[in-house]
Amino acid sequence: MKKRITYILLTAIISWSMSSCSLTEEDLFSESAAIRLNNSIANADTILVSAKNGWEMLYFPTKSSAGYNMLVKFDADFNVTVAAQNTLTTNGQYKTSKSLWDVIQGSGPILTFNTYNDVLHAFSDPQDDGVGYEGDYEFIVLSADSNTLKLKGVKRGTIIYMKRLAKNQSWTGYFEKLDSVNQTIFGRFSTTLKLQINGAEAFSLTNGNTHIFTFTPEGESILDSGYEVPFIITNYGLQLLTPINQESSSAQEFVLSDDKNELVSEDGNTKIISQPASDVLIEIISAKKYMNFNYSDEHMSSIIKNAYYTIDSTVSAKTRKLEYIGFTNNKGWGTSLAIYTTKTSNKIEGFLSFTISETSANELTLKFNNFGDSYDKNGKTYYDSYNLSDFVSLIEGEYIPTIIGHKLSSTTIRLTDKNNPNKWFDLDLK
Amino acid sequence: MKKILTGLLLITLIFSQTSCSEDEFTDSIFVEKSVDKTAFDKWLDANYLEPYNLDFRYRMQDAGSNTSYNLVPTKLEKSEEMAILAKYLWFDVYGEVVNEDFLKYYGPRMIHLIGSAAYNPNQRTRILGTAEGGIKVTLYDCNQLQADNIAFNNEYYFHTMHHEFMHILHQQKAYPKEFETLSAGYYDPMYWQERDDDSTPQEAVIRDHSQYAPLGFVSAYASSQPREDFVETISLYITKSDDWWNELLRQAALPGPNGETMPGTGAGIIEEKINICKKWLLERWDINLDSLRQNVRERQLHVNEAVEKGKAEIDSYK
Repeated sequence: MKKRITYILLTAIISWSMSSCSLTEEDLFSESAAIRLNNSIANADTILVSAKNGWEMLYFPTKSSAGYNMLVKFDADFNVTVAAQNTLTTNGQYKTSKSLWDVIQGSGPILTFNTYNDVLHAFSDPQDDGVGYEGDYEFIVLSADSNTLKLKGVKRGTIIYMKRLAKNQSWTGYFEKLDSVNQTIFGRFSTTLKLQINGAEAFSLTNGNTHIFTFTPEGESILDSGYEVPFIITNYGLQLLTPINQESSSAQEFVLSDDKNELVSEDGNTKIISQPASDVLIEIISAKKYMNFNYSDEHMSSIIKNAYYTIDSTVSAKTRKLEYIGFTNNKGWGTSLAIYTTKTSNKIEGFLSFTISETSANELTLKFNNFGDSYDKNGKTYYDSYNLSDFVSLIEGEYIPTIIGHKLSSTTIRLTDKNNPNKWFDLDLK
Repeated sequence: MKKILTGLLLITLIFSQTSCSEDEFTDSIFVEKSVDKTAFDKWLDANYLEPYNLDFRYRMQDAGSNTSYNLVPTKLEKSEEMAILAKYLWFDVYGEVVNEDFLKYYGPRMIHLIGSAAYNPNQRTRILGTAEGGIKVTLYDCNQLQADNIAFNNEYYFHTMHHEFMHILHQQKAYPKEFETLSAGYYDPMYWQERDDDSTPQEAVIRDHSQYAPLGFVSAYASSQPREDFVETISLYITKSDDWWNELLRQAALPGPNGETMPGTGAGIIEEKINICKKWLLERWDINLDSLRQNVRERQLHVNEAVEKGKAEIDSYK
């Protein structure tokens, strides 16, 4: 019995001793995690300082905030200069501020702006409500190369890119360029844009002037299906906070085309384009804005100009001044042709009810609704006594509208008579 | 046979005890960046780290703060002023009135500056300072420091420093239970802020103390709970002016907000609380509260000179 126990014990120990080293695995990394972290911190330090003209920071305070551009220059002595120019935190003025920076250990290398910077921390300051804009000032460095850093806000988790600024790009010039790009895309009135994927319109994009698009899938209602996608203006176009992933294509950065009429994704498959001119006109008027006739040779054909001149002369003969004629959406009379004249402090606006309707793809009809049971008396006076009747008769008809200028943002629509190319006029946003 | 088996067993056991690892030690993972210290860093080393083993942390690390609040760092120039004034109106005071070693033993090991206040919007309150385990003192809203406005700084910073330091002291040696009986029944940890005067700046000499002083409290916050009452009584006694105290005691002698009449009036209770504090500080810590108060008051007259001198010292490290 004792012998058997000895054999069993011996067998067990020999088996155990044989197995101890048999499953040794090769290390995946040649160095420990801590040393690799130290190295990545040193690497981030080196890259940050290497940009002698600084970095363009595409900053989103939170995942639901519009993006704000900053320029950031890191010095080897851990001083940093940050610049911005926006309406939210710098009152539209170019502003710079200096403070300190560092890259520290955390869950990865963390870039921190650890003393207060008037420009950057304006997005993080809790202000009087204890909340503020909730932006981060500590960022995990997800990746870094000599041209781009991908950062992630420690608290909000927002992905923020930094891109090396060109050596010859002046800092004030950078913000001027952003303003110019913004004007080219959104102009004075931000109309609905369309997101086109592989040639098919997939989404309507609204509220672009807030720099937070509302994406609504084509054919669906904004109320049920609209969702928000923040973006930031870049010096070449715009960049969405998160990429649009549709039909096996992904798009996040969009570049203004050479003719500035559309924004095109890197792979060229996704585009942001304008609506048809008829939709642009109707959208602006529906927003109760004015689309006025522009009384000049460049903006109306001689037929229209002569009719306009007749009204202008009649108004002048009555010692008044013709201020404008245009289309709008009046609270009382709906879509209307408006005419406005003044005589010192005496200011009279009249309205004639009109229907502006799309008859087919990018064709529309202007139709005077005549005087029914109720009408604007001032409008009727202008119609009867100021030669407005002839003008109204003349502009009624079918038109082919076109956008004049950069298509994404232009608020000038040219209407050319479908049957008479010599009859045309431009309508400009007042 | 038995011997052979026993021998084999022993060899196997010895063999099984050996390690199969060939790992060697690597360099330390705690690598200090080889960064040249700034003049301010060197001044902090000379004035806080070397004498007090204290990390004066002005470069904010959010992870080291209360992450449930939205907080921002302090401006560099405000950090410098705060470091100079904290030394002048806190550390040097104890060094002079008690002894040089006192804060080396009992002082905090870290002071962390935060640029903004920690707001509690729902309660309409904000945290001005915290003391954690006798080790770390956090001072908030340091970006608002106004080096030449003593009343403001007293209210928001130096009152807070003495307040938090007294927490550290009473966490080591308990204050008399008798203190808690004087306003018993009138502490309100939930709605104490309702007793404060919202219409007047905190630092104003003339304020409406009517909601708490007649109940024997020196501030609305003192009325939240006894330990806050204890440290508020001492810290306000040290930092507030005679005019402020006289006004407090005048209002404390009146009936309470609901007609309460305290035995000996609220003013009497406040005086009694101060006496308890004085006795506790003297007997348990060998600190004369009136000497401390007098020293702070004299120093407050020379704050601007202290700041100028401190900045010159910092510059001398450049």
